[in-house]
Amino acid sequence: MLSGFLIVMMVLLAACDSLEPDAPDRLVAEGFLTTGSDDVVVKLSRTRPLQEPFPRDGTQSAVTDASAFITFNGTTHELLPDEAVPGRYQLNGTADLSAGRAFAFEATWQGQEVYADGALPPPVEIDSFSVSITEAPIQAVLFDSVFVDPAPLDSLQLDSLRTGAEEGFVYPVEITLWWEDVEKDYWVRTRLQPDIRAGGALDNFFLRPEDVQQEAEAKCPEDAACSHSTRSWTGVYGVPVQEEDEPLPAHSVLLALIRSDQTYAQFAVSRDDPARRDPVSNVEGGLGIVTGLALDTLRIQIPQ
Amino acid sequence: MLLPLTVVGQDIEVDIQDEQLRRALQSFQSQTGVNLVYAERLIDEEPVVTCQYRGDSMREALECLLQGVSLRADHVRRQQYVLVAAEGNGPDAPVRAPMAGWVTDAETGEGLPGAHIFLRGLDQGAVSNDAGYFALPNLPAGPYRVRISYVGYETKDTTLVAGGAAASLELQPRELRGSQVTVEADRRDRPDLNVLPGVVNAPMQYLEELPSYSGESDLLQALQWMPGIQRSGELTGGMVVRGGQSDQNLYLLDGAPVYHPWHAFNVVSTFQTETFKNINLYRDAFPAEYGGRLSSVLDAEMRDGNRSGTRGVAGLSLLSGRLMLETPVTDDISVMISARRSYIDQVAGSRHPVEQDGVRDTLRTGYFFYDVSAKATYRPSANHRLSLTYYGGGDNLDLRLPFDLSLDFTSWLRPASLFFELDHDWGNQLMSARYQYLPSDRLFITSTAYASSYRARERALIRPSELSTIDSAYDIDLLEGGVGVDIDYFATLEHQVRAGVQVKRHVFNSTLDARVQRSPGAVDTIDDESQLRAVELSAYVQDTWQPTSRWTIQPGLRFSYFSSGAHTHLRPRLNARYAVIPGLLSARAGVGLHVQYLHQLKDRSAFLHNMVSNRWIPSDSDVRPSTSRHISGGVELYPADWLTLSVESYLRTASNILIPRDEFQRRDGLVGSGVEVGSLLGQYEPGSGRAFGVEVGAEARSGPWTVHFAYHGGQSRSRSRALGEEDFRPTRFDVPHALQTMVKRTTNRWEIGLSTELRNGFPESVPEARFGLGDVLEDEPTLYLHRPEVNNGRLPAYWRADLSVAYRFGIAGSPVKAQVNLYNVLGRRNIVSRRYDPSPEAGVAVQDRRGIPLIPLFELQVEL
Repeated sequence: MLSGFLIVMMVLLAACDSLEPDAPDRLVAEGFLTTGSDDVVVKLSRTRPLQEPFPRDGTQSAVTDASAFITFNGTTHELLPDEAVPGRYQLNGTADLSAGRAFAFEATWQGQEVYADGALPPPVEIDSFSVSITEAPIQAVLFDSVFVDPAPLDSLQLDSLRTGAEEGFVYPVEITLWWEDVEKDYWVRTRLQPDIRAGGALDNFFLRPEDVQQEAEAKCPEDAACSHSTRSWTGVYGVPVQEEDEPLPAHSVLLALIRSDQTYAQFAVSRDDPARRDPVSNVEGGLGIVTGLALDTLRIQIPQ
Repeated sequence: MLLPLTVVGQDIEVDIQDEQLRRALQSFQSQTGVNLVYAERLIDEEPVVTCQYRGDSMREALECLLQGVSLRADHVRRQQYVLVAAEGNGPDAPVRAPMAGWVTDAETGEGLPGAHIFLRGLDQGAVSNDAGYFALPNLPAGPYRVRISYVGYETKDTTLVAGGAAASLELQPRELRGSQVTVEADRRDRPDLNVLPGVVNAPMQYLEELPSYSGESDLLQALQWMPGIQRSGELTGGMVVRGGQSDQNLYLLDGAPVYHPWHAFNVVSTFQTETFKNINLYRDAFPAEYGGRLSSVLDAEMRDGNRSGTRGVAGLSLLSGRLMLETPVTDDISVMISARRSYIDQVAGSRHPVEQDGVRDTLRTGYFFYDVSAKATYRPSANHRLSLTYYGGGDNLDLRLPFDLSLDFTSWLRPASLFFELDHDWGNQLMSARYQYLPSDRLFITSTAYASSYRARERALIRPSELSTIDSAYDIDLLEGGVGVDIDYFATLEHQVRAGVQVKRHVFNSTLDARVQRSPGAVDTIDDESQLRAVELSAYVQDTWQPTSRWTIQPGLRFSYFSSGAHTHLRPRLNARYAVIPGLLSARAGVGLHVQYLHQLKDRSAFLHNMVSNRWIPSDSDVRPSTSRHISGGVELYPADWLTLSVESYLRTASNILIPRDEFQRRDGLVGSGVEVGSLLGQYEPGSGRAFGVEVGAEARSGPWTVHFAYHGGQSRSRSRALGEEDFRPTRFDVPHALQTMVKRTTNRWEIGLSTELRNGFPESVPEARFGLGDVLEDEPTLYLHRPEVNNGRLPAYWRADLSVAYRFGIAGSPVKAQVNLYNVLGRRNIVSRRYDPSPEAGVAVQDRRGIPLIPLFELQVEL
């Protein structure tokens, strides 16, 4: 009798498939406290149902009625909403955002309490860079769908045999950055962000316009004369052209170097697939990221 | 009518005057509950008896009852006595003696493990061990009527003598094709009534009847028709048993482990059904002699080789061709050899020389898999048996192709300046030596030594542009060697003790040598090596205890020590079976603790590595062994000779299982974290799991009809507190309901079968909202689809029907079977994964990836 009851209960429990999506709006916090900066700004927004439009200007998702506070070294300051920009909260005045300062962020909205903390890393600066470009475009694979999304055998759809990969001509632009480290366990994010009006830049599997790694791993090339504290990274992006004798389009490129802790590094590597996943968050009770980082950017011109 | 005989509590009072012995014994049995076994001829000639007894001794009461007649009562076990002639009661007469024997296949001479030997008068049984040997010790010397039965074989009735030499009992295989079910006169001796919980023990010819997706004999595919067993994909993926993980199954081939029992990217298994003489699959409730995994143990024993004549089977399917031969070499030696190889590379070609504008190139599209099995068995005498087993199998993928592939071959079948080359090969090799020795009727010793390896080589050379090259070599070597001794001691009729000790050595080697040149100045080189060693020592003892004819209780204890991390575990096991209504209804239950020292991991970020290989790592001081606790119970019912019903439920919890840190991780990096274990472990977090469910099985065989039904209902959940998970969530292959059916009609010529699978879809992570989030380097926020929980939704239900039609005929005296399988005969395109893309305005666009359409498969099989 008892075993029969247990069996019936198991069947009923198995049938309870409690996988019904149901999520209330959640608070999203976004704050990048930058070493050496004066501004303390955190943006607050909320999630919106899938069925509702989501304008990129954030007007419909901005949270304007939250209470937000930030604490530096035991002193708490209120962040006030910016009347001009909905969802933007800022410190009334300036703060000391020097390296090593710890902070804690808290916000309350409609019964939700969110919290994040962090510390400001030492400043970082691009000491120098070098650019290397081939004299003529080279033949290259333009798309690599065969690798990014390999067609599993399960599917066996004949269409998937068409890889979509095409070959064409590309100028690979290779840029190397140098900087000095601080001998601590920080992470660095390096990025080449070209601004090309026609055709756009090629960003495929085999190039490397961006990287996130531990700073200690960004070693100088063996053949370069570097001090032990010199760090280096070489990135590559491609500029496709139609013909093999076509010159390289003139454009600018933004060189970016960010030093951070692991929190931001995880966020950075997980933010590039928005349809599949949330980026890694350090906001307890909510979504988003409020972290400290050091940033240096440099925009350079690549002539034709 | 009752005699003046009363039993109150422990007190027995007998007061009989000049009563017929037969009537007195019947009354004694009915009123005391004691089981008296005797031959009719012994009591026919006996006169009347007189007895006056008062006391609490059953023996003394019986002695009183038998005083003056030439019979004596021998105590066999609790509440059971045998009446034998008293003439042999002298001081030199052998009062007690064992009955022993070997049960073999009459056609092949193979020992039959798990055959049931039933002493009809005694209501006492025994089960043959792995070699087909059985012993019933401590029987009153003399002849006994014995029935020997084994599922798939004709039942044999014979007379065996306790005290005589070990008997050789040959069973004739039963012809399944179009046969009528034999009506057993006494169903208490049915061997399938005597299995412990969680065990799947079916004869190979039954398993061969079950549908195979790939259209050829495949043991692991056949097992998926058992309740609680499923694949972790539509056609590919490992075996998931009772909500566990695919790395929690131990696959044993003649005592040696097989670490990767799959071919063709997990489409077909390395286990060819026809090469085995016996398999035991233990789901959760494995006895103490097995260990090392949490979910299941598949113990398969290869055929010894036909001792009576040469026999062979040749087969050709869409995937492969195969041949199995077995033959006696001498009176003492027999061998079995089997080989299989896929042949698509031979038909379509694997190398394609091309030339254009004077430039030559050779494109490659090679893929094949193969198996070679061999076993030689030497039997110098009835008491000695030595067998040597070899298995080697693997896959090879050899590609050199341009990137712009399409169905228009002419567009890319030309010399390729930009190309990718993959040269992967992976597979298992093992050797096992097993020596079985019978030093006495009561003692059976099995010694096993083996070496098993799993090797995978992944080579990639990619040239995506004139200035970039990726050259990678990733190697995995896993070696395991072990020696062990198992001892069966047939202590009494009630107790059969099995004990053993085993020492294993694990070696895990991995290397990665890669050079990634994205441009002349952006070059990364990786030269990593990982070497890990561990020794595992285990010992166990278990008792198969039959206190009464209705009870079988199997307590056990297993000790294990793992050198890496110095882990020790003492794990108790307890399985029990009770014949509620002998021959009709039996109840089973089991409880046990398990430990697993090895973890299977994959580099979840690297595109170039772990594409075809499996990586195992040992537990250490940081990575704890996985442990589990389980309890299961159920009933088996035989309402008719042609019908078997079973219901079994289970509950299992597991600790220290490794859960991916990032379920959404995609293989979007070229080389990933390398081979260093610490980096690999960074992609996982320890967690816990729990699963429960109920399994319902039914099998009906009547005339030409076979109906198979399997239902599994349950939940499988996991949680990692290290990932901040407070609640358990569905595991990746959690399926609340799964129903499989098969209906087959078999006649002498035709075999038509329709099988269906209906289950819930696998869990998936469904977006529930969207939000915007910027980055310090971006001007505008990125719009994300928010998935608050992993596996918070589920794909639509999966349903598929397969049809198979086989025709049997003969060519030159050889039976031939031609079979066509229509996989997914209705062409239902099940949804196997789903992608959500945010639309610009509102909602999401759902893109479904659909499963395999109708595929016709064929197989031609010839018995030689």
